[in-house]
Amino acid sequence: MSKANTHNTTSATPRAGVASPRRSRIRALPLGPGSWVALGFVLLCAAVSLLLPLLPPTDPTAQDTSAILATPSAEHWIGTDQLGRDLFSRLLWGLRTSMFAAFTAVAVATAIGVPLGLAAGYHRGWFDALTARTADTLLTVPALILLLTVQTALQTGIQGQMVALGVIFAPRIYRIVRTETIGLAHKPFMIAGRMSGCSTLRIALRYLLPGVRAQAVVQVSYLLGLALVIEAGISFLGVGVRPPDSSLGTLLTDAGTMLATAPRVVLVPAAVLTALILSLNLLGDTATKETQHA
Amino acid sequence: MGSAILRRIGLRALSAIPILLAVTFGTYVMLFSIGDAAAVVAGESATPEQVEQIRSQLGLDQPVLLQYLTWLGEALRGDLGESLHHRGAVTDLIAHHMPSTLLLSFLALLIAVVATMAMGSAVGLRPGGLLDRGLRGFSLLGIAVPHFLLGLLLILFFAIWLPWFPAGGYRTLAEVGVGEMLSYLVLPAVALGISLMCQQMRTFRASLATEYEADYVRTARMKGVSGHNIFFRHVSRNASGPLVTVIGLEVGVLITGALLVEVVFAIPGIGTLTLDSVRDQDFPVVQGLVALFAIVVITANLVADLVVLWLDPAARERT
Amino acid sequence: MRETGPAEPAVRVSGLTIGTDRGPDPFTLVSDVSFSVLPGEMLGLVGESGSGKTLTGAAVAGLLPRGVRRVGGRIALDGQSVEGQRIRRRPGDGPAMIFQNPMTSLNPAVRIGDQVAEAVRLHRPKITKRAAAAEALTLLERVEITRAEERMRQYPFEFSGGMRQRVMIAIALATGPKVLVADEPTTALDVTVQQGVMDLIDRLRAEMGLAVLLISHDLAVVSERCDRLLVMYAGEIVESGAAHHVLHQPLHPYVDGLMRCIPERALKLGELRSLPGRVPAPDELPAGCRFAPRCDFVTDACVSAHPLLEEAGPDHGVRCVRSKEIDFHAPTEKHVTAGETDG
Repeated sequence: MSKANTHNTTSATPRAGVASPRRSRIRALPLGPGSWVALGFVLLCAAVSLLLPLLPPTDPTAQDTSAILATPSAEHWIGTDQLGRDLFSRLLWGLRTSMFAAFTAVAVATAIGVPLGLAAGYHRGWFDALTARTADTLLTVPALILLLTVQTALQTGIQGQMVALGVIFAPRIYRIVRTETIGLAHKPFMIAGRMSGCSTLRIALRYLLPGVRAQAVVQVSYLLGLALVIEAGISFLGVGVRPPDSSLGTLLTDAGTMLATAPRVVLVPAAVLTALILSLNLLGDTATKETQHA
Repeated sequence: MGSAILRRIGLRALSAIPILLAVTFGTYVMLFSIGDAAAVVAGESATPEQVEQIRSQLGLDQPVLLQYLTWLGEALRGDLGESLHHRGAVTDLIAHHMPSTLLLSFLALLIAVVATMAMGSAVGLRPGGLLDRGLRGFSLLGIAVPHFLLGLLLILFFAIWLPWFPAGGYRTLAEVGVGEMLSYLVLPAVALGISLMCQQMRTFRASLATEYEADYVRTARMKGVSGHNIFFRHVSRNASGPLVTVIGLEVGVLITGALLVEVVFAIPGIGTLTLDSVRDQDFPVVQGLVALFAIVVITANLVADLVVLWLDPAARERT
Repeated sequence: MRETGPAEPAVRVSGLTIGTDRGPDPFTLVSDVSFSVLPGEMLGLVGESGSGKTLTGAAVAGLLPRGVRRVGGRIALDGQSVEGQRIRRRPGDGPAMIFQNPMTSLNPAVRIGDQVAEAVRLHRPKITKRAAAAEALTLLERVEITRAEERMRQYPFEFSGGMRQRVMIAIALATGPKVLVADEPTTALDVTVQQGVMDLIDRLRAEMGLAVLLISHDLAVVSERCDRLLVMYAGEIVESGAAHHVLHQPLHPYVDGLMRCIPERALKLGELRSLPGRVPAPDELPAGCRFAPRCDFVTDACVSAHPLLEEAGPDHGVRCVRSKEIDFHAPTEKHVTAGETDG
């Protein structure tokens, strides 16, 4: 499931001639039509997730016993499930849970990975050696297995799991940032900055951060997709989001029993989940290409 | 040359030892120091005294480093401890669940590699053609679909709508013939194999595009090598390095993928064992499994590195 | 030459035109190139990069890259016209070709002996593996690779550039060619080994009656080895004829300019020059003479109509409307004056 593995290796390889901060920024244009659709879809999902509580009340748990497994209608846009719950509102609330979960994991990973990567790449020495070894160790075991190990010990809920996932993801961001920083540290403009007496913090914020941002954004894009996959996976396995809460993963949990009778119940959330991951991967690919051109 | 290669293998294997120690120690601390095995064994209705009694019985009241070293010593002798829930050794449990997972993983990898090579050879003849573009879209999609979802879809299509294969379960060779045993593994292996293949296609396509531009391809054309053989005799070998690296890295994907796919198809394998142990908080089993996975991942990457080395004669001679 | 009297050309190219395959805006890369090479002859094909000389050679060898194809003209091998794109009807058939960069022309992952033997077996499908290996050994010895038996088991990275080019020649010979296209065979090599490789090609030409098309940007190499030569510019032949005519009494201002770029020649002429400007890209060719924008002697007639390749003497053709008027051997001041009156 750690599908970003290979992305890691490709984007982690030091590129010939890391561009100066100004150039290596991801240029917004020109994106292909596919990338625009992908970006639009991700933003739409994000907006729906954020604004859902403000939208007209759609209770994902309300049961309508008169409409069990109803087919799509004006009242239930994509029908109802086996308990007569409106699938569309379950889908939206599930999407919200999944998006927040993925966002939490990636935010934690970024908060840990970026500063550690900058510090390790800039100062090198024992700190670099220590953090690099730790990252190697964490990357040895697949993310899902690590997460399940933490789950075994702590039996936490989805929020705790996503924070743990953030820690597990942190090495991936750390590695990219560290590699980029090492590349940048010897650029003339960096040396000039140091000689003109900039403080280390200022150097990190003014020179390093913009330089590593492009690569970090690529990685974040892939990791969001990976976090969605993992959240869906553990929820599907019944150790992530638990009923009555729903996520894209739990919506698929009932799949085994519903497949034969009402495949729609499975296919719609499946399509949304896949489209979201696809969009994020596509954006990651586009961003990779853009940074390589820069 | 031979001894140089051996030394290289030895060095790589040695460098894996600290990582293995760190992984198992970290897991041990997580499970036995932060987690509370004694409480799990005692059950929810146990009094604090009972829990403490069990704790000392299990040796969990000792310093965690000491506990870990004891575990490590026994692990090195092939004893991973006892399951908290099942009567029996962790090693027996793992051995019992291993065959189906190994077979499933092998089939999935086989499907993926064969499909990648076949499509690579077809695409190589016409880069930028319809097939090439189609496969690029397909592989992007294939990477995005989670394994378990792919499994569910395959069940829907090929077990429910078209009842060609069983929707789940597993029979050992002791119970049924080879054909029937394989029929249980076809859909899960395809579910797992497709996403591996998509990953591989992406890498392979990129290196193929580079290799087809190489001058030696023109030389082969000059000799009169057919398009088919330009791929198999000339290009594929030079383009395989990155592919092998990806396959090595994919072992991690294989482990997690097998876990989910086994659950979807109700196959009693390592994945199912992992999930059960996590649910039951069966600490020793989880500890043993993590150690196993770490060894598998490290070994796979090591083997992949060596194969890449072997593929490149110049690198082979240099070492 | 083994035969007496006028022999049948090993390769005869007439009106060869090469263009891009498709796309919204196909354009011509090589236009209306005609020449022939007799058995045992070495014909020089000279031009700057971008002149179309390599494509011309590749077309003769049937090795045009993807996206480029022959859109007009005929290629006849041994008097037999080759239809369409199919110069290689059978594996290993047709002219052989060796390339500019011997470092990358061999497959890095395959042993040298196997690469030569593969060519042998493709050319003679019935041969046994063993016999093919023996033949490969003979070929490698023939191209003067020492300790050939041992070196057959080695990989390309263990060979120097000159040795690799010799291996390429062995591969080319394995296909039993009557025609060899040698595309800048020594350009990428160290100066010290260039001579040896050229001597080898020359010897094989003489021994086997091989017709060689030597493609080079280096007039010195060509003048040393070829009896006749063609000079290409922007996809077409601008001057052709006996080497001593073309080199010593060039009729085309471009060729004259090229000659003045050679230091030894310039010493005699009293001035070393470089040609300003560059070869026009195939999608921005001038309507008239393609050299006009860089020419010192340009007139209105040059710009208005595209000149034809005209007979200027026995076995001497030139594509310049003013070739009869211009006197390159006049003092150089004249060039400057001519240039100034135009611009």
